[in-house]
Amino acid sequence: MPRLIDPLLVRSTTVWPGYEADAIIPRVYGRARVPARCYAEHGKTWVVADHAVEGVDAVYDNDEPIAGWRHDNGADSTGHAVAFVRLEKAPTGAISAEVRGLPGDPASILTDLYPGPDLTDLRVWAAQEGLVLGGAFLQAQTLRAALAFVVSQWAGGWSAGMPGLAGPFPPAADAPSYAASGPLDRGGLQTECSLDALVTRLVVRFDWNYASDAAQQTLTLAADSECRWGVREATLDLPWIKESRQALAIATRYLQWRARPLWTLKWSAGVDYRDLPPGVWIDLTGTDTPMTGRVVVMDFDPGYGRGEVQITAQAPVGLLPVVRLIQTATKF
Amino acid sequence: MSLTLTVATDPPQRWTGTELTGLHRPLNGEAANLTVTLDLALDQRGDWRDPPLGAAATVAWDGVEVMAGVLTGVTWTATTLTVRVEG
Repeated sequence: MPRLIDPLLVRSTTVWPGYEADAIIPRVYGRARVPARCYAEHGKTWVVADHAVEGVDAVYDNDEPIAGWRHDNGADSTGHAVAFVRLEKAPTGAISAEVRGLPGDPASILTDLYPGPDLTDLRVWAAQEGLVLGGAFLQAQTLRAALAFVVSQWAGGWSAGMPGLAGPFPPAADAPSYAASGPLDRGGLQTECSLDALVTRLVVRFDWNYASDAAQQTLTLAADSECRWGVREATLDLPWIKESRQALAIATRYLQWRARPLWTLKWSAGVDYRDLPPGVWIDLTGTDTPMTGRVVVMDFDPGYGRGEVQITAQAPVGLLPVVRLIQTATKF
Repeated sequence: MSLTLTVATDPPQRWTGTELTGLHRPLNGEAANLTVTLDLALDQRGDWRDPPLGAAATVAWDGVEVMAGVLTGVTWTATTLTVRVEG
């Protein structure tokens, strides 16, 4: 089983005996527009993915769609499976392609990157949401960074210590609470709430074109809490989200969590909490906190050798903000 | 309390620790790492003069694995030898 510190398995064009430019060969999940890598000096053979793909839907020369091409999956000079695009004549500029690559459902992507954890819950949730991702890895990075990036595409939560590795954030409202914490269960409670964390307007950039490295679509959402705190704008990038419906659902959940005061609570507790994982609900009671009810565990220190654990949790207060879509835009 | 560090050298070596710090499980966390202070006096640290950086390392508490990662750093002082493991 790979370790999270291990590098993501991507290759550079320098593995070939000849190359036009030193660049990472795309690793494509779902449907994505990616830059192709020139494979042959005559310029008519290009590689669009560092693995076999389901298909290629379009090919572009300097952003202009072209005809007279064909796609096939084969082996490169090293014997590694790649996806070729072969042109009738050499292009005038940079070649890119709309590719259907490896499976784009979140659980399949995470399993491909980091096999081992049982992702059944994530698979079911993503299927219910209709969540399908589409994008490419074009940079060398660790598996941890790659996992974090994939999970960020639905603004979710993940941790090696979390049941099911990854899921939505916050957890589903009907998910059970993992534990309870009353005033007698905790010590050294510190709570903090900051204006810096408040967001009332969100610009969402999604549906990335990796050939031009730009978002093809944007949405702008606003929460009704704008009338109290004014316009406090932030940007959320979801490059692997392709549909505006999905972007709207993810961004709404994201904004509802942040468009009201967000309390961060830290406290110490006994070792009977040592199995507490991050990313779960716990029930908070007592008059020593500014808020009671369900909070999400954001960080957890098991405190080996200290006889106590440190828990960091977070939850917003106030009515659930009403979020409305105020603008959509498409890149021309 | 039993804190052990096992390093995948040839042959594998197991060390006893006295203190474990830095371990936590953040949601959406950055690199997970911890440090283990080994129970070694100055004259017992011969094997660590040329430390096995990059070797697979496992940290266990009372026999339960708390991190399996890679040995990424060593801090040597007159009184302590501290090893950093990243997973």
